[in-house]
This record gives sequence, structure tokens and C-alpha cells, in this order.
Amino acid sequence: MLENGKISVRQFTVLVALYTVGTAILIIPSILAAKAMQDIWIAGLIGLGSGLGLVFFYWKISERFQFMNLVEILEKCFGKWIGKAVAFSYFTFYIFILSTFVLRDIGDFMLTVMMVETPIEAIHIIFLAVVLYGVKLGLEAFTRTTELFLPWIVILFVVLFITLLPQIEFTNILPIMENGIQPVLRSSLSFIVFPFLELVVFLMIIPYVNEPKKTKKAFLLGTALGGGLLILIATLSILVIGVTETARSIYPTYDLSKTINIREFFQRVEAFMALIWFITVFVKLVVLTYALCLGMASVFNVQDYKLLTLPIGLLLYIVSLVIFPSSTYLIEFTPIYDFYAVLWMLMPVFIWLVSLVRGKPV
Amino acid sequence: MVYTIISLLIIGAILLIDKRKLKKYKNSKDLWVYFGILGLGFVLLLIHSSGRTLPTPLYWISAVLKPIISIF
Repeated sequence: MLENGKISVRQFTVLVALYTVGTAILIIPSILAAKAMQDIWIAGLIGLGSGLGLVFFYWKISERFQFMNLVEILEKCFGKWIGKAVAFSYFTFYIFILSTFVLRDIGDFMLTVMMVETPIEAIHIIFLAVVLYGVKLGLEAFTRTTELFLPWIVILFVVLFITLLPQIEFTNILPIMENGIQPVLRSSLSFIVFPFLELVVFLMIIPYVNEPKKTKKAFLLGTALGGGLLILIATLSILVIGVTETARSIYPTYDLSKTINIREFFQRVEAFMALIWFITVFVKLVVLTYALCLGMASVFNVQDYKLLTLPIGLLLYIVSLVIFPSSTYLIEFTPIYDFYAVLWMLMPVFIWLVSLVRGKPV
Repeated sequence: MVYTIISLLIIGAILLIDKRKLKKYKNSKDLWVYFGILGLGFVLLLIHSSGRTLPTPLYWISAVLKPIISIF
């Protein structure tokens, strides 16, 4: 086995929840509001429902293959060489690209709103160094760290929520379904792609949970908690800063926390929001990088996945610097990415179909 | 020039950190994978540090998928 560590079912739930929140917490309100407008909460609920269905499907695949990891599942399904080739493309063209997006997100955020004169290279190197150290320490170590972070996120989020309560305007979410159901459905598709489709990466982690058979409930619960938090944040954005501002802003949740002002005393708490984001982005990037190293080690039969951590980290660093030529290109690429991610979703469906045709897999 | 020196320092630091692991897997084919990925990263880092703009992989993805999306 490539990984010797084991995590508990509870730790797995925390990991899934924070991974789901990941980068989405800061940018999902504007993505949803751009299409669904004030019906963001309906789009969110539809997206979450479908996301839970998707997660259940991922778990069923894992269960069908006796909780093997994704590379082993592909090898079992398509044979050794084709399986390895498919796994290599999956990790290179989906998981790797996704990891560079996450790293670039943190760089862009810091550069845009917090440290405008710092070179993006410095931010990427510092953040990646922490992530790679986490991956090198192994699954158990970074999952325990995640557990330590959880109470802080809950406290910070509760503070944020309570302090925003006086500014809520319920008229902001009216009228309901003004433009019909179609924009809501289109918006919910974006919510499924980002972040629920990305949960496929947990097929690499389920085998290392001490009781894999009990992960179904944990996987669904973690997704529901993370997704619920995202819907709450998105709805809060609409209720406080309104539809136009939410859809126009790049980081609406950050703008939302800027509005907190209690008697001219408790204000400028946007750094709290940034702190929540740093933690969840760290969790997402560490899980993605871990899965990437583990996947590549499985594909190339490397005995220790930790050996590949730094070379893969170096590639992540360079590609993250060149991935988006400009921020306008990112906006242009978003609909293409939705389609691209859905295409990669066909792979688990294909695995399922092949396993049905071939009968009992193990 | 400064960026090239920084690139060399980064590679040096990586090799230094992995020194013990590299000794452990001496004469193993695992090192081929390690140096393959590291070599690719080094070449890209040098190109980037020389001031040339590396093409983003998203261009290729867009070029393939845009015609398909336009059908829908």
C-alpha cells in the first residue's frame, strides 16, 4: 500500500466539508448570482441536491470495487495499460489543472485585495511550501491539522453571521423566479461543477479510512455541511449587499464582510473572512496535491508517493503562474470549464457502465 | 539573470531536501520518474525565468472544446 496512515470516519467528514467549502466560499456567490440573480438560494438547493446524488454515485463506485483507489479501479476496469493511461490523463488534465486553479486563486486574491505590491511568485511559493510540507507529512498529519482548524472556522463564521444580521434586507431576494426556472437551472449546473464534481478526488482517500464501509454517511454529511455553508454565504451576500453588487464583484463574500460595522467600534473584520478562506483553500490544495502525488505514484509504480511531492510541486508552481493570461480570459474560460469538467465526469459513469457489463468486478 | 539564479536555487533546495530519499531509492526506476518530472519542471522554470511567456494549457482546451460548445 502506498499510504500507511489511516484516518477515522469523523476526520473524513471534516476533510470533505472543508474541501467542499474550499475556494468556493469567496467566489461562488458571484458565479451563482450572475445567472440566477436573487434566486441564488433555489439554484443552491438544486445544486446541493444533485451534488449529494453525485457523491452517492462516487461512493457506490468505490464500494463496487471493494474500496480500491481510483487508479486501481481504472486498472481493474480497463486492464493494466489502458487503465494506467486513462488514470494518467485524468490526473494530468483534470486534477493537476484543478490544483493550479486553486493555487492561482489564492495568488490573485492576495494580489487584488491584500498585498497589491507583492509579486505573485512570492505568494505562490510560500503557500505551496506549507501545502507540500503537509503532503510530505502524510494523510494522517494533514487531516489532524484540518480537525484543529474546524472550530476556528465555525467560530469565525458564527461571528460573521451574527454581525451581519442587522443589515439583512429580505426584500433583496424578491421577486422569486422573476425570469423563470431556466436561469436557476443553468446556475445550479455551475454549482454542481464547482465544487461537487471535484469531490471525485476522494476516491483516492476512501481506501485509507479505517472503516471504509462507514464512509457513505460521512461523505454525504461532509458534502451537505460544506454545500449548506456555501448556500448560506451566497444567500447572505444577496440579502446584505444585493444582487447587482454580488454579481459584479469578484470576491463578494470579502465585500460582504467589509460592510460589518457595529457602532463604529467593531469594523474592518474582512481579514476574518480571508482567514476562513486561507484555511479552506489550504485544505483543498493539500487534498488535491496529495491525490495527485498518490495517483502519479500508483500510475508509475513508485514505492513512496512522498518522493514525487517536490517535483510535482515545482510543476504546480510554474503552471499556476501561466494558467490565466489575464482575468478577462478567466471569465471567458468559465463556461468552457463547466463543459470540460462535465466531460471528465463521464469517466466515473463509464467506469460504472463497464463494471456493469463485465459483472462483479472483484 | 537574477531569476535564473533563483531557479537554480529552487532546484538545489529541492534536491537537498530529497537527498536522503534519493539515496534510499538509488538504482531504482523510481528515480527515473522523479528526475523526469523534476527535469520538466526545471526546463519550464528556466523558460519562465528567461522572460518568455509560456502558453497556458487552457488555450488548447478552449481550441478543442469551443467548436463543440457552439453546437449546443
